[in-house]
Amino acid sequence: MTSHRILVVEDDVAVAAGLVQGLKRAGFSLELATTGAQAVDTLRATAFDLVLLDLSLPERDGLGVLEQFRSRSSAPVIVLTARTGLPDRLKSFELGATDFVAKPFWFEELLARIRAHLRITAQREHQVVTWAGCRVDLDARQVLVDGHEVELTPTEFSVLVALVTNPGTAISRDRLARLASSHGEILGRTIDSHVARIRKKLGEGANAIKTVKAVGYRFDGSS
Amino acid sequence: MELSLALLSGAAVAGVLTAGALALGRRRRHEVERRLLSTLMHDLRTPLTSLQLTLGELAHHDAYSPDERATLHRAIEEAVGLRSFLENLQLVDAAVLARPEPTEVTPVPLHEQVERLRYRYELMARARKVSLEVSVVPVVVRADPRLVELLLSNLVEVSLRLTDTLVMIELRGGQGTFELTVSVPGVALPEPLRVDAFANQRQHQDRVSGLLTLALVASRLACESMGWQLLLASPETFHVKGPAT
Repeated sequence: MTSHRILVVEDDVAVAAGLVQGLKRAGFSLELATTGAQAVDTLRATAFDLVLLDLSLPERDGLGVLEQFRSRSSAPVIVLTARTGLPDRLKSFELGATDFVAKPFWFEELLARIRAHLRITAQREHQVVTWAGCRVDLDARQVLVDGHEVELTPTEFSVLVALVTNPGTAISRDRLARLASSHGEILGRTIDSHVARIRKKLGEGANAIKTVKAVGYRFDGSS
Repeated sequence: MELSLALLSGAAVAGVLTAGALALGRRRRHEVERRLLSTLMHDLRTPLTSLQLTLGELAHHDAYSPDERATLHRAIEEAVGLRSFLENLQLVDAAVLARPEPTEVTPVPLHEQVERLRYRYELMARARKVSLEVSVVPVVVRADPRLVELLLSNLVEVSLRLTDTLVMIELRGGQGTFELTVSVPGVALPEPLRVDAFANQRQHQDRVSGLLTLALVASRLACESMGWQLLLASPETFHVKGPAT
């Protein structure tokens, strides 16, 4: 029996009831928020292992909730929505969604995805990479340079993680984009500008990110 | 514009203006139709989710008479069919209007999508007492994940509706290509559907055949837009082939 804490953010009473019932039966500990504002308050007050987030919410849109949550937590967020168009899908990933499930869905598939994301998170927990005054906490999604926190966008953080978790390996731009994005939301041709912004923020530590001519980048930092 | 109008006779001008107005009217009508369909889709998705969650919950209980269980199974099948109908209608409608939805080309782990089918069709397979056998090797393709999902779902769902024993899904890859087969051993696609299986929507006497045809047409459109090949390798086997990374 698992005791993972999940926040369900869903304004439709029937869908929320179905999710809560199914997840409780699966052994999860749950909280429910039915508005965007309530979700933000709950997320601020309590730590969750995973969030199920509807996008069309009263008071505050789900994308706004996601953006705010991502600035403080790396817990997986699965977007569950009837807004299935490409712009919402891309925006969700850009803001740090872990997965995107279009309504309608079957509970069994959602449960399989939840378990997969929790498993991946558990394997990644408490990984920290340090070099040249830089400290990247993969779990907390926090970057410190000379002891001071620097802010990276979700995409920049993902690119940096892809680099520092493959030290000494030349990674092509396309592969870097694939490694940094769970659903292809980052394009290979945009990697250069992401890396340039990361370098600016890392100070001396930026020297560890080497450009590999005609290939891409390599991280040469050492812990 | 003024110059070109001056070069035309009065009758020709009237003809051009009428044709232009008709084309504009048609475009607007298509736009309105598309917006209406899109709103309908959006508004149906949430209640259908609630329906599916409720059916899933009910399916976990045991205390049903055989008649009650049969009714529950029919409801599950109808919900599965309605979901596919929504997804397929959107794709086919966009193709008919020659205005395809924007696509997102991205690396897609095909084997993961195939594995997910087990969960998506677990209830329906259980209701029909059909086994889903999945055999995959890791294959990554560059495609729109939504189209891949729609294609796989359609082929498996059509197969599930044709058999009462087994659906086999096999994914093979190598040398820059992949091959996927979905088969129902010993059970054939009905004769009327076999001829031009993936051709455009036709009139059918029964609702199930209509749904199957829509699924097959949408599968063809999805394959075409991704540059993949889809064929009926035998009356009981769908075969998809395309490039892998």
